[in-house]
Amino acid sequence: MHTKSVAQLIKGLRDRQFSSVEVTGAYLERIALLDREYNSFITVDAAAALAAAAVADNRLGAGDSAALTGIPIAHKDIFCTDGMRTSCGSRMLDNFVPPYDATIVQRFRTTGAVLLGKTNMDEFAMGSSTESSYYGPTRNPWNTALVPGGSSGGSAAAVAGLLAPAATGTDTGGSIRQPASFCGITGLKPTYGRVSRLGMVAFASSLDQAGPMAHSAEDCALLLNVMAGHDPLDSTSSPTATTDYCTTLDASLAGLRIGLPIEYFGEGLDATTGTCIHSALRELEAQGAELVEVSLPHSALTIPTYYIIAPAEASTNLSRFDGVRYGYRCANPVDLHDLYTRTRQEGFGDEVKRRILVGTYALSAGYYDAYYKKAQQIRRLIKQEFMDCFQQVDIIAGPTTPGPAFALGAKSNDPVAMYLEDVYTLAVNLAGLPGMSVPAGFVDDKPVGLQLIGRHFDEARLLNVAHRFQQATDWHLRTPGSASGGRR
Amino acid sequence: MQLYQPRGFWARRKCDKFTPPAAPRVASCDFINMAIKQDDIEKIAELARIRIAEEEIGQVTLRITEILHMVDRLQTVDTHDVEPMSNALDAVQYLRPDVVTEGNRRASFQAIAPAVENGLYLVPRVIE
Repeated sequence: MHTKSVAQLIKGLRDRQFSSVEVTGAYLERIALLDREYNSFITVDAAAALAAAAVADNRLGAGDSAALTGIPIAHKDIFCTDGMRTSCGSRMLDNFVPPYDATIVQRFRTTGAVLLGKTNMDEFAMGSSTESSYYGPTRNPWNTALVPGGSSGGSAAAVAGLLAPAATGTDTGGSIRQPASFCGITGLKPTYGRVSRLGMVAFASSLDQAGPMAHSAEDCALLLNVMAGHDPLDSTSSPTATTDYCTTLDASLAGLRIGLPIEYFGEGLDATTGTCIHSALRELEAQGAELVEVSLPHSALTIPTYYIIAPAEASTNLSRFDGVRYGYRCANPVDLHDLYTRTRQEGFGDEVKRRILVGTYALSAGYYDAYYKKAQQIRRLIKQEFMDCFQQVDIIAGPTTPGPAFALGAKSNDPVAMYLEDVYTLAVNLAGLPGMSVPAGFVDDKPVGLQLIGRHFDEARLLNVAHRFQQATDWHLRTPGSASGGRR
Repeated sequence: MQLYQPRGFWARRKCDKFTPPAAPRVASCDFINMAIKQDDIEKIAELARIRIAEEEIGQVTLRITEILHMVDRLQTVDTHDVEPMSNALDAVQYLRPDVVTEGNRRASFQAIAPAVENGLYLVPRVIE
């Protein structure tokens, strides 16, 4: 049961081959059995999941089912869930039980999906390894000595380890694509504004975007159909019309122009990873796509630009955690100042505090123009460069990360080394573009991801290219030995 | 780690019609002095309302200095006349009609607060 894709589960549920209670029960058993090792979930409520599955079975029986009725889904613990703890991987929100659902959580409930549990993540989504979680690190199912990537590492590991057929994630600088790459699954970060941010704990509001993580492009399309669309409660949500992302999956790639940025294949790219990406591009070429060399000369500036803008926005967003209205409060505060400063000292971890301090500095009087305004100007140059490229090509392709998953602890004490992990993914968030990571091979038994970048609101094209690639390859069907191994 | 050497289609396509755009324009020189002192960190921490333990302040200063050193590259780019971008789609904030759409949920919001009394949030005494 746990080896089936979302598309296969939908069919099996509709054909009454099995019930949602059976499917949900099978995943809950696997979580109980294997998650002690992966630590991919922070919260699992088995009774609530089985109750929701029973309701879904009634709907299926009554012929009242919607797109994902009865399908178990794991949500990153950044999405507010009414009545279920939403920690954001932080001690600050360890006791926070939201009084409302995030819009996407609500959408999944409405379609009848079963909430399996909440997945582990870097604290407040700030990290690339899921090591900064208050609940301990998540481990990569392909090799538990390795990190799963981050910040949506719990979601990636849960899907890779076959503890959930699909999950949600969020991506501010690569947090869906990089863990998808490290765990050998498919992940999509939609265009900024495509998916509602309401009820998603804010990190950097001009960059944050939620998206699906699953085994295949087809499954991601099924989830995106539920997630995408305008939300009147999120003023940055786009009113641009959505399409049915499943209908164009099979479109031919003949004549598709794929841009390969020379900067994404240069200094810093691991040799075997480069070879995997090279072979993947050959496959797309064999299907009729044309490979065109392009250049994104500002690529080297994306890390410094991001590490001003994201911390600046984070320092503003995280000022709401004050120990007064919800969340952690320090013991025995002597006065209000002590309550604020000690609550934030004790409630936040090191990386979160570091980013708040950098952001506060970049926004402070005398430094605003030199840092924040400067970064916003370069952000425009970075976006313009992509717009110019998309005059010549339909999509851009390259590696998702410079190399495969690294060992736990290898970079956790060196923030700048950790930041370099996101060298190929950050620009996509700065420019607000949709990006995907698609399994494209292995380096020493560690998965490698092919990154696809599209024009604004061209998610359907990315899913189409990924799906065609997955029709010709089986990288996305491989499963790790720790999850029982073999081919799905 | 062995680095990737482009081959194959790269070699074939080296002379494609496409000409890469010019390299970024470099400003004459307006580097900021990056030396951030422990005093500065203490001031920022006070602005951010984060207490830093005495024994940690040296390490925090070191890490933040490394990050500021990394972002220093931004100063090499000439951004004269470039409009700052705060939204990648240059979207504007839209407004909804000014009508009440949600009911009063004070009880459920206060149920998750650390300390409340008679419908009020409790904090330590601020007025003597």
